[in-house]
Amino acid sequence: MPQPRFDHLRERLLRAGIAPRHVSRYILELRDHCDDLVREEMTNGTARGAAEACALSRLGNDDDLAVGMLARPGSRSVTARYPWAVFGIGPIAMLVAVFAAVLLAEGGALNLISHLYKNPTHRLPPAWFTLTFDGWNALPTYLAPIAIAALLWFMGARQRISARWIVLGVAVTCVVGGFQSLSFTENGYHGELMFDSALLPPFPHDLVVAGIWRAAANLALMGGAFWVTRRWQVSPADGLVTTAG
Amino acid sequence: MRTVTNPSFMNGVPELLILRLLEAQEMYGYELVQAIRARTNDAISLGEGVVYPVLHALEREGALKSRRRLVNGRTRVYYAVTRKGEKYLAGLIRHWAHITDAINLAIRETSHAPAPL
Repeated sequence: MPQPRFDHLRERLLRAGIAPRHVSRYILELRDHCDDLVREEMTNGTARGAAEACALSRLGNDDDLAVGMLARPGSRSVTARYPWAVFGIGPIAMLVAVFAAVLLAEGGALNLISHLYKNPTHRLPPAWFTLTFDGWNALPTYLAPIAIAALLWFMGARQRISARWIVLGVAVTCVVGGFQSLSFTENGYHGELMFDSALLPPFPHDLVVAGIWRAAANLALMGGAFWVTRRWQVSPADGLVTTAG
Repeated sequence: MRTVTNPSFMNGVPELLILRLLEAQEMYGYELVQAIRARTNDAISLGEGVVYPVLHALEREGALKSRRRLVNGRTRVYYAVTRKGEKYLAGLIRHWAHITDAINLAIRETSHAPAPL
């Protein structure tokens, strides 16, 4: 089966902004169709090599196959059509969604616990209780920016989006995500679930400093991953370095 | 006779043929292309792979639905016409009937016109 020809077509379609799921399905159907044509030609007595050449010719040349797909704008991915939204606004929207979801879940859990356990003696909660919530709060504070940045990177690379958009998305996620944090304190009388953003007034000094460190760590981690990927990259088509806009 | 078709003049023809054939029975791409060739006596010659973007677009528009079926150990994507597709096909047929009537009229008038002196 002439796989490399379809690999080239796949690359061309992805770089033109066609959604990966449409490309994958198209290639899958073309391969099946090509296989059927080869079988048909061989059944008619054609030698395998000639049958494959004939099958490819009947399928259409690369330009025809690509133009058929490119002529239909509905096949383009949202990421290719609106990269500014996905990589500019997307990171902030995803961070807000993650923090909101974590806050709602945590607030709900704490309300349920306080409803079930009244704590009449105002004892401090056990260490494991506070540690559990600290661990939970660490997810959006430390892990979410990295996970979102990695997701944007993966999406961008998979869809052959221009490297500048991917870098923008990753940088926005690392920096904005670094300046947000969640914390929980409980003194036996009342508990406090706090969302802090060092990017909002009054810009508390300690939060700003912690935010700078976290943002720098996020950027260093993603930058390191980018560098390692570049080192391992076999061909420009396989990784982040792309040309499509 | 095999014809090289003018693409701009083919607008809507692949959709019409595909919907017409799939209206009768569900088919997968290769089967559909063979049916188009058979039904048009090879008069309409397209790269066979070009049928898939048309199928995908029709499916996105809701005119077709697809399902995967395992046939002889191979997974095939079968396409079938939806209610919306039937209405779309009826519109396309009306449109093409109108165009062919107009062209036939023009041809008849031209052939009956007196030869220039």
